[in-house]
Amino acid sequence: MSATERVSAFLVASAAFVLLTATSAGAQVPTAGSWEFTGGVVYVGGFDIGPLAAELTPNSGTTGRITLFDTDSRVKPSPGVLAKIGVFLSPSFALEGGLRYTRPVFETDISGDFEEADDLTAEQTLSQYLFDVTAVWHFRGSGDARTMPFVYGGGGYLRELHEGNALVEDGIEFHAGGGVKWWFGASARWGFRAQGGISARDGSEFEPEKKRRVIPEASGSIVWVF
Amino acid sequence: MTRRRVVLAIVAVCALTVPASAYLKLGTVVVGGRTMSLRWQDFPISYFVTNTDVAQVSATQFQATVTRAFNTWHAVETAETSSRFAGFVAAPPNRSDGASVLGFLSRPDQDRTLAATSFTIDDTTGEILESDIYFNSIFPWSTAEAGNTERFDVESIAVHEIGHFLGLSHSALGETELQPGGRRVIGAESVMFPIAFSRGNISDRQLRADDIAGISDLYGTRAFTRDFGSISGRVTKNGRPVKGAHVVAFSTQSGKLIGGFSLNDDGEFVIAGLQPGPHILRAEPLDDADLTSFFDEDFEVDVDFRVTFYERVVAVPRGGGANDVEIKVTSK
Repeated sequence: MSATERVSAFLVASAAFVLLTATSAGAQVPTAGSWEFTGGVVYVGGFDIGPLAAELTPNSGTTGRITLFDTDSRVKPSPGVLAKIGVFLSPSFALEGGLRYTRPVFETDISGDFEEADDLTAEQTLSQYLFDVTAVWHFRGSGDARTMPFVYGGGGYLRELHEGNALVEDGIEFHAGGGVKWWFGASARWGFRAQGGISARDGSEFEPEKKRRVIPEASGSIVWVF
Repeated sequence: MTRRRVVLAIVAVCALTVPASAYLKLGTVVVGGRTMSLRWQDFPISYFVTNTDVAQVSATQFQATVTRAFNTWHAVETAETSSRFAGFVAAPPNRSDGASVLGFLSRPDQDRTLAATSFTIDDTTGEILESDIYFNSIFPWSTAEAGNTERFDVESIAVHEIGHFLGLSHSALGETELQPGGRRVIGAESVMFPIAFSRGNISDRQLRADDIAGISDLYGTRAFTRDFGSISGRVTKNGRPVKGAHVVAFSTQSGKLIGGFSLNDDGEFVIAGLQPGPHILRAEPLDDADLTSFFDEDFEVDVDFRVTFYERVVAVPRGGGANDVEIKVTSK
Protein backbone atom coordinates (compact mmCIF):
# COMPACT_ATOMS: atom_id res chain seq x y z
CA MET A 1 0.00 0.00 0.00
CA SER A 2 1.46 3.36 -1.01
CA ALA A 3 1.72 6.34 1.32
CA THR A 4 -1.14 8.07 -0.45
CA GLU A 5 -3.26 4.94 -0.19
CA ARG A 6 -2.47 4.67 3.52
CA VAL A 7 -3.53 8.28 4.06
CA SER A 8 -6.68 7.69 2.03
CA ALA A 9 -7.52 4.61 4.10
CA PHE A 10 -7.00 6.60 7.28
CA LEU A 11 -9.30 9.33 6.01
CA VAL A 12 -12.02 6.85 5.10
CA ALA A 13 -11.73 5.18 8.50
CA SER A 14 -11.82 8.54 10.28
CA ALA A 15 -14.84 9.70 8.33
CA ALA A 16 -16.64 6.45 9.06
CA PHE A 17 -15.83 6.76 12.72
CA VAL A 18 -17.11 10.33 12.77
CA LEU A 19 -20.39 9.23 11.23
CA LEU A 20 -20.76 6.26 13.57
CA THR A 21 -20.10 8.26 16.68
CA ALA A 22 -21.73 11.53 15.73
CA THR A 23 -25.00 10.55 17.23
CA SER A 24 -23.62 8.85 20.30
CA ALA A 25 -21.24 11.41 21.70
CA GLY A 26 -22.03 13.33 24.79
CA ALA A 27 -18.91 14.54 26.51
CA GLN A 28 -19.53 17.15 29.20
CA VAL A 29 -16.10 18.69 29.05
CA PRO A 30 -14.71 20.88 27.80
CA THR A 31 -17.20 23.64 28.34
CA ALA A 32 -17.51 27.18 27.04
CA GLY A 33 -14.44 29.09 28.11
CA SER A 34 -12.23 26.01 28.33
CA TRP A 35 -8.82 26.12 26.74
CA GLU A 36 -7.35 23.18 24.94
CA PHE A 37 -3.76 22.42 24.10
CA THR A 38 -2.97 19.89 21.41
CA GLY A 39 0.41 18.43 20.53
CA GLY A 40 1.16 15.54 18.24
CA VAL A 41 2.39 14.18 14.98
CA VAL A 42 1.11 14.85 11.51
CA TYR A 43 1.44 13.13 8.15
CA VAL A 44 1.11 15.33 5.05
CA GLY A 45 0.70 13.83 1.60
CA GLY A 46 2.95 14.53 -1.34
CA PHE A 47 2.28 15.54 -4.93
CA ASP A 48 3.78 15.17 -8.37
CA ILE A 49 5.35 18.18 -10.05
CA GLY A 50 5.89 16.30 -13.27
CA PRO A 51 8.39 15.73 -16.05
CA LEU A 52 10.59 18.36 -17.66
CA ALA A 53 13.30 17.73 -20.25
CA ALA A 54 16.58 19.57 -20.69
CA GLU A 55 16.47 20.21 -24.41
CA LEU A 56 18.78 21.64 -27.02
CA THR A 57 17.75 23.50 -30.16
CA PRO A 58 18.19 21.02 -33.02
CA ASN A 59 20.36 21.74 -36.04
CA SER A 60 18.91 21.56 -39.54
CA GLY A 61 18.70 17.95 -40.61
CA THR A 62 18.43 16.69 -37.05
CA THR A 63 15.19 14.80 -36.61
CA GLY A 64 13.22 15.14 -33.42
CA ARG A 65 14.09 17.03 -30.31
CA ILE A 66 17.52 16.87 -28.74
CA THR A 67 17.17 15.91 -25.10
CA LEU A 68 20.24 16.36 -22.94
CA PHE A 69 18.44 14.54 -20.10
CA ASP A 70 14.95 14.04 -18.68
CA THR A 71 13.71 14.92 -15.22
CA ASP A 72 10.62 14.06 -13.22
CA SER A 73 10.05 15.88 -9.93
CA ARG A 74 7.78 15.46 -6.94
CA VAL A 75 7.38 16.40 -3.31
CA LYS A 76 7.21 13.26 -1.18
CA PRO A 77 4.80 12.70 1.73
CA SER A 78 6.31 13.63 5.05
CA PRO A 79 5.75 13.31 8.78
CA GLY A 80 5.91 16.30 11.08
CA VAL A 81 4.83 17.73 14.38
CA LEU A 82 2.05 20.10 15.34
CA ALA A 83 0.92 22.16 18.30
CA LYS A 84 -2.37 23.98 18.73
CA ILE A 85 -3.99 26.14 21.36
CA GLY A 86 -7.75 26.52 21.24
CA VAL A 87 -10.56 28.11 23.15
CA PHE A 88 -14.13 26.87 23.35
CA LEU A 89 -16.54 29.70 22.62
CA SER A 90 -19.46 27.37 23.28
CA PRO A 91 -19.64 23.71 24.33
CA SER A 92 -19.47 22.75 20.65
CA PHE A 93 -17.53 25.48 18.91
CA ALA A 94 -13.84 26.18 19.32
CA LEU A 95 -11.31 28.38 17.63
CA GLU A 96 -7.71 27.17 17.36
CA GLY A 97 -4.42 28.64 16.40
CA GLY A 98 -1.55 26.36 15.59
CA LEU A 99 1.85 25.64 14.16
CA ARG A 100 2.72 22.66 12.00
CA TYR A 101 6.28 21.77 11.05
CA THR A 102 7.14 19.24 8.37
CA ARG A 103 10.24 18.39 6.34
CA PRO A 104 9.13 17.01 2.98
CA VAL A 105 11.69 15.85 0.46
CA PHE A 106 11.72 17.42 -3.01
CA GLU A 107 13.16 14.82 -5.35
CA THR A 108 13.97 14.77 -9.04
CA ASP A 109 14.56 11.61 -11.05
CA ILE A 110 17.19 12.23 -13.74
CA SER A 111 17.41 9.80 -16.64
CA GLY A 112 18.12 9.40 -20.34
CA ASP A 113 21.34 11.40 -20.39
CA PHE A 114 22.60 12.11 -23.89
CA GLU A 115 26.09 11.03 -22.87
CA GLU A 116 24.88 8.09 -20.80
CA ALA A 117 25.50 9.44 -17.33
CA ASP A 118 24.11 7.17 -14.63
CA ASP A 119 20.47 7.76 -13.74
CA LEU A 120 20.11 9.49 -10.39
CA THR A 121 17.48 10.75 -7.99
CA ALA A 122 18.57 14.13 -6.65
CA GLU A 123 16.97 15.41 -3.47
CA GLN A 124 16.63 18.40 -1.26
CA THR A 125 14.82 18.63 2.06
CA LEU A 126 12.33 21.42 2.56
CA SER A 127 11.27 22.92 5.88
CA GLN A 128 7.59 23.84 5.96
CA TYR A 129 5.99 25.95 8.65
CA LEU A 130 2.22 26.36 8.69
CA PHE A 131 0.73 28.99 10.99
CA ASP A 132 -3.02 28.39 10.93
CA VAL A 133 -6.35 29.36 12.40
CA THR A 134 -9.05 26.70 12.50
CA ALA A 135 -12.71 26.61 13.46
CA VAL A 136 -13.82 23.33 15.04
CA TRP A 137 -17.39 22.12 15.53
CA HIS A 138 -17.88 19.26 17.99
CA PHE A 139 -20.84 16.90 17.89
CA ARG A 140 -21.98 16.53 21.47
CA GLY A 141 -24.80 14.04 21.54
CA SER A 142 -26.28 11.97 24.32
CA GLY A 143 -24.14 8.84 23.83
CA ASP A 144 -20.67 7.95 25.02
CA ALA A 145 -19.30 10.97 26.83
CA ARG A 146 -15.74 9.81 26.25
CA THR A 147 -15.87 10.33 22.51
CA MET A 148 -16.37 13.62 20.74
CA PRO A 149 -16.44 13.72 16.92
CA PHE A 150 -15.73 17.01 15.18
CA VAL A 151 -15.31 18.68 11.85
CA TYR A 152 -12.93 21.51 11.15
CA GLY A 153 -12.01 24.11 8.57
CA GLY A 154 -9.56 26.95 8.41
CA GLY A 155 -6.68 28.62 6.71
CA GLY A 156 -3.12 29.54 7.32
CA TYR A 157 0.15 31.04 6.22
CA LEU A 158 2.61 28.54 4.78
CA ARG A 159 6.30 29.36 4.81
CA GLU A 160 8.66 27.01 3.01
CA LEU A 161 12.44 27.09 3.22
CA HIS A 162 14.52 25.20 0.71
CA GLU A 163 17.70 23.42 1.70
CA GLY A 164 20.26 25.89 2.98
CA ASN A 165 17.47 28.22 4.15
CA ALA A 166 18.43 30.85 1.57
CA LEU A 167 15.42 30.32 -0.68
CA VAL A 168 12.07 31.08 0.89
CA GLU A 169 8.59 30.97 -0.53
CA ASP A 170 5.28 31.49 1.16
CA GLY A 171 1.58 31.34 0.47
CA ILE A 172 -1.90 30.79 1.80
CA GLU A 173 -3.20 27.37 2.80
CA PHE A 174 -6.76 26.16 3.43
CA HIS A 175 -7.78 22.96 5.17
CA ALA A 176 -10.86 21.00 6.13
CA GLY A 177 -11.69 17.60 7.53
CA GLY A 178 -13.03 15.65 10.45
CA GLY A 179 -11.91 13.60 13.42
CA VAL A 180 -12.63 12.45 16.90
CA LYS A 181 -11.40 13.03 20.43
CA TRP A 182 -11.30 10.29 23.07
CA TRP A 183 -11.16 11.45 26.66
CA PHE A 184 -9.14 9.53 29.24
CA GLY A 185 -10.47 8.90 32.75
CA ALA A 186 -13.25 10.52 34.65
CA SER A 187 -11.87 14.03 34.63
CA ALA A 188 -11.79 14.12 30.85
CA ARG A 189 -8.95 16.63 30.90
CA TRP A 190 -6.62 14.48 28.86
CA GLY A 191 -7.49 12.84 25.62
CA PHE A 192 -6.37 11.62 22.25
CA ARG A 193 -7.29 13.37 19.03
CA ALA A 194 -7.23 11.81 15.57
CA GLN A 195 -8.18 13.69 12.46
CA GLY A 196 -7.90 13.54 8.71
CA GLY A 197 -8.69 15.90 5.88
CA ILE A 198 -7.34 17.82 2.97
CA SER A 199 -5.02 20.78 2.68
CA ALA A 200 -5.12 23.06 -0.34
CA ARG A 201 -2.39 25.48 -1.33
CA ASP A 202 -1.37 27.40 -4.40
CA GLY A 203 1.42 25.88 -6.42
CA SER A 204 4.95 26.99 -5.80
CA GLU A 205 6.35 29.71 -8.01
CA PHE A 206 9.26 27.34 -8.53
CA GLU A 207 7.19 24.69 -10.27
CA PRO A 208 6.82 24.53 -14.08
CA GLU A 209 3.06 24.95 -13.75
CA LYS A 210 1.70 26.89 -10.82
CA LYS A 211 -1.25 24.66 -9.96
CA ARG A 212 -3.36 24.56 -6.81
CA ARG A 213 -2.49 21.42 -4.85
CA VAL A 214 -4.99 19.47 -2.76
CA ILE A 215 -3.08 17.21 -0.41
CA PRO A 216 -4.37 14.65 2.13
CA GLU A 217 -3.27 15.07 5.72
CA ALA A 218 -3.79 13.15 8.95
CA SER A 219 -2.66 13.61 12.51
CA GLY A 220 -2.73 12.06 15.97
CA SER A 221 -2.32 14.23 19.07
CA ILE A 222 -2.56 14.35 22.82
CA VAL A 223 -5.13 16.87 24.08
CA TRP A 224 -5.10 18.69 27.41
CA VAL A 225 -8.03 20.78 28.52
CA PHE A 226 -7.51 23.48 31.14
CA MET B 1 47.34 52.88 -20.00
CA THR B 2 48.89 50.32 -22.32
CA ARG B 3 47.13 49.44 -25.53
CA ARG B 4 47.44 45.88 -26.67
CA ARG B 5 46.10 44.19 -29.75
CA VAL B 6 44.58 40.83 -28.86
CA VAL B 7 43.32 38.42 -31.45
CA LEU B 8 41.63 35.71 -29.51
CA ALA B 9 40.83 32.32 -30.92
CA ILE B 10 37.21 33.17 -31.25
CA VAL B 11 35.69 31.78 -34.32
CA ALA B 12 32.48 30.41 -35.56
CA VAL B 13 33.54 27.38 -37.48
CA CYS B 14 31.52 25.51 -40.00
CA ALA B 15 32.96 22.12 -39.18
CA LEU B 16 35.18 21.33 -36.24
CA THR B 17 35.14 21.25 -32.45
CA VAL B 18 33.11 20.73 -29.32
CA PRO B 19 30.12 19.24 -27.51
CA ALA B 20 28.87 20.23 -24.02
CA SER B 21 27.28 23.38 -22.26
CA ALA B 22 27.88 27.11 -20.86
CA TYR B 23 28.87 30.75 -21.03
CA LEU B 24 32.32 32.03 -20.40
CA LYS B 25 33.57 35.57 -20.16
CA LEU B 26 36.66 36.69 -21.99
CA GLY B 27 39.51 37.32 -19.63
CA THR B 28 43.03 38.52 -19.99
CA VAL B 29 45.92 38.81 -17.59
CA VAL B 30 46.53 42.46 -16.85
CA VAL B 31 49.27 44.27 -14.98
CA GLY B 32 49.80 42.75 -11.56
CA GLY B 33 48.89 39.25 -12.64
CA ARG B 34 45.19 39.68 -12.08
CA THR B 35 42.69 38.29 -14.56
CA MET B 36 39.96 40.71 -15.48
CA SER B 37 36.94 40.43 -17.69
CA LEU B 38 37.16 42.20 -21.01
CA ARG B 39 34.34 44.71 -21.21
CA TRP B 40 33.37 48.02 -22.69
CA GLN B 41 33.24 50.96 -20.31
CA ASP B 42 31.51 53.60 -22.43
CA PHE B 43 28.18 53.33 -24.21
CA PRO B 44 26.88 53.58 -26.83
CA ILE B 45 29.64 51.71 -28.64
CA SER B 46 30.28 53.22 -32.06
CA TYR B 47 30.89 50.82 -34.92
CA PHE B 48 31.57 51.16 -38.63
CA VAL B 49 30.78 48.83 -41.51
CA THR B 50 33.16 48.09 -44.38
CA ASN B 51 31.63 49.27 -47.62
CA THR B 52 32.12 45.97 -49.43
CA ASP B 53 29.49 43.83 -51.15
CA VAL B 54 29.63 40.06 -51.58
CA ALA B 55 27.42 37.78 -53.64
CA GLN B 56 23.80 38.20 -52.56
CA VAL B 57 24.68 40.55 -49.68
CA SER B 58 25.24 44.25 -50.25
CA ALA B 59 27.02 46.42 -47.69
CA THR B 60 23.71 48.09 -46.93
CA GLN B 61 21.99 44.74 -46.31
CA PHE B 62 24.94 43.68 -44.18
CA GLN B 63 24.75 46.87 -42.10
CA ALA B 64 21.01 46.51 -41.51
CA THR B 65 21.52 42.90 -40.48
CA VAL B 66 24.34 43.52 -38.02
CA THR B 67 22.37 46.40 -36.52
CA ARG B 68 19.54 43.93 -35.84
CA ALA B 69 22.08 41.57 -34.29
CA PHE B 70 23.41 44.33 -32.02
CA ASN B 71 19.85 45.16 -31.03
CA THR B 72 19.22 41.53 -30.11
CA TRP B 73 21.85 41.87 -27.41
CA HIS B 74 20.73 45.36 -26.38
CA ALA B 75 17.18 44.05 -25.88
CA VAL B 76 18.25 41.87 -22.96
CA GLU B 77 16.32 43.42 -20.08
CA THR B 78 18.78 42.41 -17.40
CA ALA B 79 21.82 43.97 -19.09
CA GLU B 80 22.71 47.52 -20.09
CA THR B 81 24.44 47.78 -23.45
CA SER B 82 23.96 50.02 -26.44
CA SER B 83 25.64 50.81 -29.74
CA ARG B 84 25.29 53.08 -32.74
CA PHE B 85 26.17 52.69 -36.40
CA ALA B 86 28.72 55.41 -37.17
CA GLY B 87 28.93 54.99 -40.94
CA PHE B 88 30.45 53.08 -43.84
CA VAL B 89 34.22 52.99 -44.27
CA ALA B 90 36.60 51.64 -46.86
CA ALA B 91 38.87 50.11 -44.23
CA PRO B 92 38.74 46.33 -43.78
CA PRO B 93 37.74 44.94 -40.39
CA ASN B 94 41.12 43.78 -39.14
CA ARG B 95 43.18 46.86 -38.36
CA SER B 96 44.05 48.37 -35.02
CA ASP B 97 43.04 51.87 -36.03
CA GLY B 98 40.89 53.00 -33.12
CA ALA B 99 37.66 52.27 -34.94
CA SER B 100 35.49 49.18 -34.46
CA VAL B 101 34.73 47.82 -37.90
CA LEU B 102 32.53 44.95 -39.10
CA GLY B 103 32.59 43.68 -42.64
CA PHE B 104 33.46 41.04 -45.16
CA LEU B 105 37.04 39.98 -45.67
CA SER B 106 38.43 37.19 -47.82
CA ARG B 107 40.43 34.78 -45.67
CA PRO B 108 41.11 31.66 -47.75
CA ASP B 109 43.77 30.67 -45.21
CA GLN B 110 40.98 30.30 -42.63
CA ASP B 111 38.93 27.79 -44.56
CA ARG B 112 36.99 26.61 -41.51
CA THR B 113 36.37 29.99 -39.98
CA LEU B 114 33.13 31.71 -40.86
CA ALA B 115 33.87 34.83 -38.83
CA ALA B 116 36.21 36.05 -36.11
CA THR B 117 36.45 38.87 -33.61
CA SER B 118 39.57 40.70 -32.48
CA PHE B 119 40.15 43.34 -29.83
CA THR B 120 42.38 46.16 -28.80
CA ILE B 121 42.31 46.42 -25.02
CA ASP B 122 43.71 48.48 -22.20
CA ASP B 123 45.83 45.82 -20.56
CA THR B 124 45.83 47.58 -17.21
CA THR B 125 42.05 47.52 -16.83
CA GLY B 126 40.67 45.02 -19.34
CA GLU B 127 38.65 47.75 -21.02
CA ILE B 128 37.87 47.02 -24.65
CA LEU B 129 38.98 49.98 -26.74
CA GLU B 130 38.24 48.59 -30.17
CA SER B 131 36.84 45.42 -31.63
CA ASP B 132 36.65 44.26 -35.24
CA ILE B 133 34.63 41.44 -36.74
CA TYR B 134 35.33 39.93 -40.10
CA PHE B 135 32.96 37.66 -42.00
CA ASN B 136 34.95 35.35 -44.23
CA SER B 137 33.80 36.07 -47.77
CA ILE B 138 35.05 32.73 -49.10
CA PHE B 139 31.78 31.31 -47.72
CA PRO B 140 28.32 31.94 -49.24
CA TRP B 141 26.24 34.37 -47.17
CA SER B 142 22.58 35.31 -46.99
CA THR B 143 20.45 37.94 -45.33
CA ALA B 144 17.17 36.37 -46.50
CA GLU B 145 14.48 36.72 -43.86
CA ALA B 146 13.75 33.00 -43.81
CA GLY B 147 17.32 31.95 -44.46
CA ASN B 148 18.77 30.25 -47.53
CA THR B 149 19.56 26.55 -47.33
CA GLU B 150 22.65 27.01 -49.51
CA ARG B 151 24.12 29.88 -47.52
CA PHE B 152 25.12 30.85 -44.01
CA ASP B 153 22.88 33.30 -42.22
CA VAL B 154 24.63 36.63 -41.62
CA GLU B 155 22.37 37.57 -38.71
CA SER B 156 22.90 34.32 -36.80
CA ILE B 157 26.67 34.53 -37.13
CA ALA B 158 26.57 38.26 -36.33
CA VAL B 159 24.72 37.61 -33.09
CA HIS B 160 27.44 35.11 -32.14
CA GLU B 161 30.33 37.41 -33.04
CA ILE B 162 28.76 40.44 -31.37
CA GLY B 163 28.59 38.31 -28.23
CA HIS B 164 32.38 38.15 -28.44
CA PHE B 165 32.53 41.85 -29.38
CA LEU B 166 30.78 42.59 -26.07
CA GLY B 167 33.12 40.36 -24.04
CA LEU B 168 31.68 36.86 -24.03
CA SER B 169 33.69 33.80 -24.89
CA HIS B 170 32.35 30.46 -26.07
CA SER B 171 29.68 28.36 -24.44
CA ALA B 172 29.92 24.59 -24.44
CA LEU B 173 26.16 24.08 -24.37
CA GLY B 174 25.73 21.79 -27.33
CA GLU B 175 26.24 18.32 -28.71
CA THR B 176 28.10 17.34 -31.85
CA GLU B 177 28.81 14.28 -33.92
CA LEU B 178 31.93 13.30 -35.78
CA GLN B 179 31.72 13.46 -39.54
CA PRO B 180 34.35 13.26 -42.25
CA GLY B 181 36.23 16.53 -42.12
CA GLY B 182 35.12 17.64 -38.68
CA ARG B 183 32.23 17.84 -36.29
CA ARG B 184 28.63 18.68 -36.97
CA VAL B 185 26.36 20.26 -34.38
CA ILE B 186 23.43 18.03 -33.47
CA GLY B 187 21.91 20.60 -31.15
CA ALA B 188 22.96 23.59 -29.06
CA GLU B 189 21.35 25.80 -26.46
CA SER B 190 23.55 28.84 -26.70
CA VAL B 191 24.27 31.26 -29.51
CA MET B 192 27.83 31.31 -28.18
CA PHE B 193 28.44 27.63 -28.96
CA PRO B 194 31.64 27.62 -31.05
CA ILE B 195 30.34 25.61 -33.99
CA ALA B 196 27.74 27.20 -36.21
CA PHE B 197 24.52 25.54 -37.23
CA SER B 198 24.26 24.33 -40.82
CA ARG B 199 23.62 26.55 -43.82
CA GLY B 200 20.15 28.01 -43.89
CA ASN B 201 19.59 27.62 -40.17
CA ILE B 202 18.44 30.85 -38.50
CA SER B 203 17.98 29.56 -34.92
CA ASP B 204 20.87 31.61 -33.61
CA ARG B 205 19.15 34.88 -34.33
CA GLN B 206 17.59 34.42 -30.90
CA LEU B 207 19.51 34.43 -27.64
CA ARG B 208 19.10 31.54 -25.18
CA ALA B 209 19.14 31.59 -21.38
CA ASP B 210 22.88 30.86 -21.34
CA ASP B 211 23.64 33.90 -23.53
CA ILE B 212 21.36 36.16 -21.51
CA ALA B 213 22.98 35.05 -18.26
CA GLY B 214 26.41 35.72 -19.73
CA ILE B 215 25.75 39.24 -20.98
CA SER B 216 23.88 40.05 -17.77
CA ASP B 217 26.83 38.88 -15.73
CA LEU B 218 29.02 41.37 -17.62
CA TYR B 219 26.68 44.35 -17.85
CA GLY B 220 23.91 43.46 -15.41
CA THR B 221 21.29 45.87 -14.19
CA ARG B 222 20.47 46.33 -10.51
CA ALA B 223 17.40 44.21 -11.07
CA PHE B 224 19.62 41.39 -12.33
CA THR B 225 21.72 41.51 -9.17
CA ARG B 226 18.59 41.67 -7.03
CA ASP B 227 16.43 39.07 -8.74
CA PHE B 228 18.82 36.37 -9.90
CA GLY B 229 21.18 34.08 -8.04
CA SER B 230 24.19 31.88 -8.48
CA ILE B 231 25.64 28.48 -7.66
CA SER B 232 29.27 28.05 -6.72
CA GLY B 233 31.29 25.08 -5.72
CA ARG B 234 33.96 22.73 -6.96
CA VAL B 235 34.41 19.63 -9.02
CA THR B 236 36.58 16.89 -7.54
CA LYS B 237 37.83 13.46 -8.54
CA ASN B 238 39.13 11.18 -5.78
CA GLY B 239 39.29 14.26 -3.55
CA ARG B 240 41.42 16.24 -6.00
CA PRO B 241 40.21 19.27 -7.96
CA VAL B 242 39.15 18.90 -11.57
CA LYS B 243 40.10 21.84 -13.79
CA GLY B 244 38.18 22.69 -16.93
CA ALA B 245 35.04 20.69 -16.14
CA HIS B 246 31.90 22.00 -17.73
CA VAL B 247 29.06 22.40 -15.21
CA VAL B 248 25.49 22.99 -16.33
CA ALA B 249 22.64 24.22 -14.13
CA PHE B 250 19.15 23.14 -15.16
CA SER B 251 16.14 24.88 -13.67
CA THR B 252 13.45 22.35 -12.77
CA GLN B 253 10.97 25.21 -13.00
CA SER B 254 11.76 26.78 -16.37
CA GLY B 255 13.81 24.08 -18.09
CA LYS B 256 16.52 26.65 -18.84
CA LEU B 257 20.14 25.56 -19.12
CA ILE B 258 23.02 27.79 -18.04
CA GLY B 259 26.60 26.67 -17.73
CA GLY B 260 30.02 27.45 -16.39
CA PHE B 261 33.45 25.92 -16.03
CA SER B 262 35.73 25.00 -13.15
CA LEU B 263 38.40 27.52 -13.93
CA ASN B 264 41.06 27.46 -11.23
CA ASP B 265 43.47 25.01 -9.64
CA ASP B 266 40.94 24.26 -6.89
CA GLY B 267 38.35 23.09 -9.43
CA GLU B 268 36.03 25.93 -8.44
CA PHE B 269 33.14 27.14 -10.57
CA VAL B 270 30.51 29.87 -10.39
CA ILE B 271 27.34 29.94 -12.46
CA ALA B 272 25.53 33.27 -12.22
CA GLY B 273 22.33 34.61 -13.72
CA LEU B 274 20.17 31.77 -12.45
CA GLN B 275 16.47 32.11 -11.76
CA PRO B 276 15.64 31.51 -8.10
CA GLY B 277 14.46 27.97 -7.48
CA PRO B 278 15.61 24.37 -7.61
CA HIS B 279 18.36 23.38 -10.04
CA ILE B 280 19.97 20.16 -11.19
CA LEU B 281 23.74 20.24 -11.76
CA ARG B 282 25.55 18.19 -14.40
CA ALA B 283 29.33 18.06 -14.80
CA GLU B 284 30.88 16.87 -18.03
CA PRO B 285 34.34 16.80 -19.56
CA LEU B 286 35.30 18.70 -22.71
CA ASP B 287 36.63 15.42 -24.00
CA ASP B 288 36.17 15.65 -27.76
CA ALA B 289 36.60 19.35 -28.17
CA ASP B 290 39.05 21.76 -29.60
CA LEU B 291 39.91 23.06 -26.15
CA THR B 292 41.38 26.26 -27.56
CA SER B 293 37.83 27.25 -28.44
CA PHE B 294 37.40 27.82 -24.72
CA PHE B 295 40.77 28.28 -23.07
CA ASP B 296 44.32 29.34 -23.77
CA GLU B 297 46.60 26.58 -25.01
CA ASP B 298 48.47 26.39 -21.69
CA PHE B 299 45.26 25.91 -19.69
CA GLU B 300 45.28 22.33 -18.41
CA VAL B 301 41.92 20.64 -18.78
CA ASP B 302 41.05 17.33 -17.13
CA VAL B 303 38.82 15.36 -19.47
CA ASP B 304 39.22 11.97 -17.81
CA PHE B 305 35.93 11.71 -15.96
CA ARG B 306 32.41 10.50 -16.57
CA VAL B 307 29.42 12.79 -16.98
CA THR B 308 28.01 13.09 -13.47
CA PHE B 309 24.96 14.64 -11.86
CA TYR B 310 25.17 16.27 -8.43
CA GLU B 311 23.19 14.21 -5.96
CA ARG B 312 21.39 17.15 -4.36
CA VAL B 313 18.82 19.50 -5.84
CA VAL B 314 20.36 22.96 -5.39
CA ALA B 315 18.07 25.80 -4.31
CA VAL B 316 19.19 29.10 -5.83
CA PRO B 317 18.17 32.09 -3.71
CA ARG B 318 17.00 35.40 -5.10
CA GLY B 319 19.88 37.88 -5.09
CA GLY B 320 22.29 35.46 -3.47
CA GLY B 321 24.24 32.31 -3.95
CA ALA B 322 24.05 28.61 -3.17
CA ASN B 323 27.61 27.85 -2.17
CA ASP B 324 29.85 24.93 -1.24
CA VAL B 325 28.52 22.50 -3.80
CA GLU B 326 30.94 19.64 -4.43
CA ILE B 327 30.39 17.49 -7.51
CA LYS B 328 32.35 14.29 -7.15
CA VAL B 329 33.22 12.69 -10.47
CA THR B 330 34.97 9.42 -11.26
CA SER B 331 37.48 8.48 -13.91
CA LYS B 332 36.22 6.98 -17.16
